[in-house]
Amino acid sequence: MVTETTRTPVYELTKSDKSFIGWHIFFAVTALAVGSIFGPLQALQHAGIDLYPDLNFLFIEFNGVNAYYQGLTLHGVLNALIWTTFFITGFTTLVVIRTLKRPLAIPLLNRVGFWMMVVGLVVAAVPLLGDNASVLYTFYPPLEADVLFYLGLVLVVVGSWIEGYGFYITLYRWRKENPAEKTPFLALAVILNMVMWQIATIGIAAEILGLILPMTFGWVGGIDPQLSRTFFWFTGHPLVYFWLLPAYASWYGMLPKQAGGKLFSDSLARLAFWLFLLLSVPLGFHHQFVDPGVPAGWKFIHSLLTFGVGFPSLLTLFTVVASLEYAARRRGGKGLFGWIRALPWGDGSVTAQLLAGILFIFGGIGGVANASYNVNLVLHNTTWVPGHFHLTVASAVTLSFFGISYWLVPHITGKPLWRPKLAVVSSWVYFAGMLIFSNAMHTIGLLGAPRRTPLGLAPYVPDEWNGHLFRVAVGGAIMWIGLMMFVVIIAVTAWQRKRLPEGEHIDVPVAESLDDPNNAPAWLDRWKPWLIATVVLIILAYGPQLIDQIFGIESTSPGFSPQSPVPGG
Amino acid sequence: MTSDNGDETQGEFKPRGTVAFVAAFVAVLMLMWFSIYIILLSRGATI
Amino acid sequence: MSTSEHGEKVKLHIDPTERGWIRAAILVLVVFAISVTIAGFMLGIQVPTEEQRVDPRTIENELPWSDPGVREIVAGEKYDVYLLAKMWFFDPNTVPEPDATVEIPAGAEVTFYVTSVDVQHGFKIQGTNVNFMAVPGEVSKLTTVFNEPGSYDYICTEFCGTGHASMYGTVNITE
Ligand code: HEM
Ligand SMILES: [Cu+2]
Ligand SMILES: [Cu+2]
Repeated sequence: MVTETTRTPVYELTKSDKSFIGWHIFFAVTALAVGSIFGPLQALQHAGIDLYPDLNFLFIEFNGVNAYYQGLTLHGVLNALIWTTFFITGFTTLVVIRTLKRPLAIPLLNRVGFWMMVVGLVVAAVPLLGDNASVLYTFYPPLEADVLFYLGLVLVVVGSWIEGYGFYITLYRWRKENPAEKTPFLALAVILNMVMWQIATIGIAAEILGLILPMTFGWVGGIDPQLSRTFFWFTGHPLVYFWLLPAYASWYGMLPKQAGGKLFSDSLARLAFWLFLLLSVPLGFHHQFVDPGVPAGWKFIHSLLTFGVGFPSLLTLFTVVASLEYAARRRGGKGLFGWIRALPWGDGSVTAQLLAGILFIFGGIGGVANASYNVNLVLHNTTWVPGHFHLTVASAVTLSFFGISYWLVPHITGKPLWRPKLAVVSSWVYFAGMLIFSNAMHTIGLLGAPRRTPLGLAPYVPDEWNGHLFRVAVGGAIMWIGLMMFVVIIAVTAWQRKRLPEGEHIDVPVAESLDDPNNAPAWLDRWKPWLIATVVLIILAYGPQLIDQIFGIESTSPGFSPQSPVPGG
Repeated sequence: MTSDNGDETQGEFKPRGTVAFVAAFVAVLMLMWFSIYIILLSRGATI
Repeated sequence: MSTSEHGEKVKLHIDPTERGWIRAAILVLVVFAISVTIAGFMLGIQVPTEEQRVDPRTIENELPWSDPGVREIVAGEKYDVYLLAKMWFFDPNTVPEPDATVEIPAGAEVTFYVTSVDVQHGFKIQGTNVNFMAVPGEVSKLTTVFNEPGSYDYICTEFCGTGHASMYGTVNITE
């Protein structure tokens, strides 16, 4: 059985809330299913198996080698931006309503935000499918896409902001109604994530509205590519925490319950989240260590700040593992490491999240290397980097979302999970493929293989890389099989006729904690000091360099289509 | 909100396995990080 | 533990084992920070820094960029290399049928200056720590020493459009 079934739900969501959350999951999983088609295609291409010409029906207009980049753009946008954002906002909606035990304050606001994201997705899809926006999901100017691509992205981001406002107002109301209570950890965690996102996305908003659209509309002659990179990475790093924090919320606040235990420390879980709010944004230059237009001193400072944000993740490692150990010991687990076997590995939701955690250990280690200032020279823009983030966003986050979906979809549909055993298998298959794939990607990265490159046709590939490129293909194909199992399980679960037996109900797993949350210090439930500190730190870490770059702006680069070396061509 | 009666509290549960786990983690972290660091040193200065 | 309703006077309680872990975690991060500082500020393995702004529209008309390639500063010891990144080759183009070569004696100190005339490109020399972005409007610069004779590929490591996968060149290091 996937999760406990209870007869008396603590707080029942309304039918309309459930279907609203369901729409989020529908678009999320659809985006993942479509975006992931290109994963194995890219992986096989690396090993010299070019399936693009054979699968040309996937493209509206098949355009030779451009198909690789068109597919890679779709892969990045649909998987990294759409699957994540839609899933996160849906999951956040569920957690807010269920743990605050009250409806959304202004449901219409959240609905407007959501449908705005859907419209944005459709608007961006038009040029993406037409090969008019094959600029990859980072859309570095002066590469220029069709204007609809940028407008679509703006709508998705603004829609997510509006959903955020709906959550903030709901929390505000709840605090007014419950002045003596601490905000439940899960509600705090997911809403804090939306606040962080709101602050972080100012960068990308400035980039698109202030630099890119004026160029695309022809109001200015060109763009300043260096400044646009700085704006982009202001958002780009916290973006990864926006993906990760909902998974952390589940590991801290739900997984212990699913495993039969309790959260080891509610206070430290809260502390970790406040530290993420404080430290997620002011360190974006660690993505720009090799940029020419940023002084090395600022890069070094941001590197140190990145070591700082490593700290709450290390805290998370201990607290989550201790919570799991507590659960395992209660289940009779013995030994220094033997307790791990006593965890409920037969539960597809738990297994997915445990495997997510294991892969994230390696993702985290690679991340520390990326962030280590000059160490970045060894691996910047090599295949090490996609090797790394398939362990983070495509494993820690994606596998955790698989695990969450395995109880969430039964919860909102009232239908039993289809083939619970297959759910366990799906995560193991994905995990196995990922081990092979990411290991190979890291290895050739260290040997110098560039990322974002169809290596199958690159003229400079030495024989030494071939064995590893083959492993990229094998691992990538296996991953895809595991991922498709997930998609099919969720689709069949949602569309089947079968319902849970009368009176039975799959509840949201909410873990209690070993320490009493009402014994946590007051400063762990106050927004003002943390928000002020966050803004001050951002101003200190970004202010001087941003002012320099903004006042020194040189909009001298005209836009280029990725298909032509002639400006505007 | 408080833990049910008869349960262990945080003070009574000693996370021995967790200590072993994070110790192993630090060992792997150090090993991997320094192996990349050594590649960096072997590829020479840049100024 | 004494509390008021809001936990006003409550101190943060941390389990002693976890307290130990917090210390260890901070120590590990400090060790890494010190290691990169040593490599950067004592061993001279530095990342690129602000160098020079240029105008990508006119750069090809001005020296030194109107005549990119190798400059001998001190014979056998010090060389500068100017390369223009373009969709989809490095100028001077050393592949596939070289119209120019980048030839440098082993053991010399070589400084690479690279900029782009169109979109963003990447620049990574295999087997060295030279790895940076080529951004239009900015000049990127790093120095290295090739100790072993042979040919070293430099590769475009950032997506720059259709021809990206074949954008590379070679440095020939002579005895
Ligand atoms: C079916 C499993 C998957 C496979 C086989 C796969 C394979 C790949 C490969 C080989 C690349 C590198 C392409 C290149 O650098 O030229 C890549 C890039 C990428 N993948 Fe995946 N992937 C999979 C699933 C995912 C998932 C689930 C996510 C996110 C949730 C994801 C996010 C990304 C991103 C963001 C990139 C970078 C795109 C860019 O460089 O612009 N992938 N993938
Ligand atoms: Cu980052
Ligand atoms: Cu390129």
